Amino acid sequence: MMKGIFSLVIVLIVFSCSRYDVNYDSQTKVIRHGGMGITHEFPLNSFESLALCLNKGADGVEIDVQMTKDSILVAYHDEELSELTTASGSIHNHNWNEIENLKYSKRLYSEYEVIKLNDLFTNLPEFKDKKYFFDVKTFSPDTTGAHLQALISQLVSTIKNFGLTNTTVEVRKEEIGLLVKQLDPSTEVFVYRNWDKALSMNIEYGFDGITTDVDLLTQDRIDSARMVDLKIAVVNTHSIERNDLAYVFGVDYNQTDMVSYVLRKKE
Amino acid sequence: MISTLFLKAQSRTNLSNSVSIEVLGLGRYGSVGYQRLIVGDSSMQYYFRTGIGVMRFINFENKFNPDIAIPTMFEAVFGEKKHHYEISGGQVYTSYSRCSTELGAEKRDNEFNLAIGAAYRYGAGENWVYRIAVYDILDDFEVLRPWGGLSARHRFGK
Repeated sequence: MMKGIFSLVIVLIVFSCSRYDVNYDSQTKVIRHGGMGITHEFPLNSFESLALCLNKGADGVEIDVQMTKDSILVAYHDEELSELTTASGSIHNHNWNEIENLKYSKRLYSEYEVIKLNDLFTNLPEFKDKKYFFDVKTFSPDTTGAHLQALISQLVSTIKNFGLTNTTVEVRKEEIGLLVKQLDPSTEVFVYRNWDKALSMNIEYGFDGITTDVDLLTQDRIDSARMVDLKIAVVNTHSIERNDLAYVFGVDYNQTDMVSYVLRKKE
Repeated sequence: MISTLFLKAQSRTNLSNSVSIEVLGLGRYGSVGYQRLIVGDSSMQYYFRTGIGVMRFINFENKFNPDIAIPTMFEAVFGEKKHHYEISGGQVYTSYSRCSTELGAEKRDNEFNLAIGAAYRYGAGENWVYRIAVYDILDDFEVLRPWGGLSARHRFGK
């Protein structure tokens, strides 16, 4: 009798401690933030980081996009170059020849370069059918809209020139999304704002989805997005629990910071 | 004179050779090393140190292609009994794989990095020395980086 009770208690403890019953074989695509993510040795948005992520078998990558003064698209996350490199100023204040060969400088003995999008896709032709999320960074103080228009125009040209078949542009402002849709209706537009604003922008302008922090997801929110055929991408999945949550909810894209772990689970 | 000092050092001690393992330090994440006493007396000893650290095993193509660091340092050590202090200088050779967008292919870069260091050494027993070090590394002779390391050394031989 006592042995039975003891066994029951053990079973209850084990089950109460287990995580969600998660099926990592779901349709949720594995996307990686800036390549291998912020903690990896290869710098965010460097060629090496993006290429390693794709070579490891991820479904795609998220790339931060900015544009130089002479309209060259550059993969770079921060507003200030001094945050990650030895140069100063912002991307939009420099011509490409001023930042060409610029190295990321945060890590000892590492000499990886800031790259332009053309060089990235020229050297990764085998991955043109992967999923690419482009996070458009709007740091330019230009109020006329000319910089933004040129950036989106260049981005859509890049997508078309390299035959990228599966692309999403993440936007915070509706005018950027509308511009993307006007130039290339086949490119998806996801809104990255607070949930209610993102949902209303999607409904009003006919965009394709919502990018959100995984912690902000609820079943009600999932249902409200599915009712209007919106896709969902989650970010900040930097722990096992958060990755589990993304798969429990069955989101469309998991921009995970634990790509190796998730790929192992999917195998 | 140096040979006299060398002979003196050889005759008075069996600390000529040691192997070490360092966490962080000049190998970036870690390294294994070998030290040899060049010359010294009871108040000051001079050592030569080399080693190897592996920074990455897998390159951006997800292939085995290690990035390595090989420090080569000269150390001057002084102090009494168990407590010693060290200043050091030398260079770290690094070789790592990256993508050359101009070549459209993998490229291996080789660099030399100047390094200076200071350390406290604690001698535990006959054969073990524990060491905490700080370094300034002139990365590719461009960027000065402060760095640090913890190591354990084991003496062997005569």
